[in-house]
Amino acid sequence: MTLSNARLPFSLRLIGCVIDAPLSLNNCELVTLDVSGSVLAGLDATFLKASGSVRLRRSVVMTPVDFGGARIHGFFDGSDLVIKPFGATPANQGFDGDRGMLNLSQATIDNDIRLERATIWGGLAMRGLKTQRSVFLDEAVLLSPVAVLERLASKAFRRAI
Amino acid sequence: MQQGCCFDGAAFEKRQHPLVPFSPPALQAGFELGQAGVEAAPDCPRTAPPTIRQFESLADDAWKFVDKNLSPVDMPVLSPADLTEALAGAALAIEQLPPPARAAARLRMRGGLQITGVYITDRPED
Repeated sequence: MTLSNARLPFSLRLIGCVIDAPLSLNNCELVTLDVSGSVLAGLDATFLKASGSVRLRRSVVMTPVDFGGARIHGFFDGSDLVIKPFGATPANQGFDGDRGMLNLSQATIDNDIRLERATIWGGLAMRGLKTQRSVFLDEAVLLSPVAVLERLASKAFRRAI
Repeated sequence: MQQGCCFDGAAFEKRQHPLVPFSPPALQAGFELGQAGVEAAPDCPRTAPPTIRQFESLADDAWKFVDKNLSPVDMPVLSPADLTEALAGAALAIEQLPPPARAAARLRMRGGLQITGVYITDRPED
């Protein structure tokens, strides 16, 4: 679902949906993006401009989530978010381990970043992130790409023994 | 959109409204160009600007466009292309409005488009 460069003068809320196609929101302008409770095959939102908030509460995303350079005037709410490398990365979205599975690098978020109880397998990148408020990571589970590899290697090693 | 979109005369007559006459191909072409803007074709028919009396009803038209094209009740399975087109159509409908009506439409659509519990997929239904 390609909404790159689109200017949507309204909010987009896909609540409790299963989105089988990667959602591309590069350079998209909208009010609020809310995909809470949805399962997404991919979410690429680099340089997204949201005059409202971005909500990913209780969402499950199968591939890297990229909000690099995004400008969000409200909250970034990813409470109970699950991001795991289950699916194949979309062809137009290269996976860079340095960015992790959730990339907020160079993003500007004017309000709170809430990632409470989030589970992110593959790292969280926040280089150059600007936020006016707080970052909440209560009970979040964050594993770097190296940690994922270590765990896989550990399992393989145990099986071998 | 800097110059607007090429209107389809047939679709215009069918829909009975001057501001939501976009044919899917023209809409899709315009949308793919995105913020680069769409230049109107030289032979593109143009609609007359709306009168003051139309302003009030214009604000609701973007919603009607969305409601007509996107109904979770009627479409539990939604294709990404349809959703993309409907979103682009709603946005384009607003952008085509004159400034007073555009502001009213944006205010009207402040709550946004919400779709709940829909399977968005290209896969055919079983």
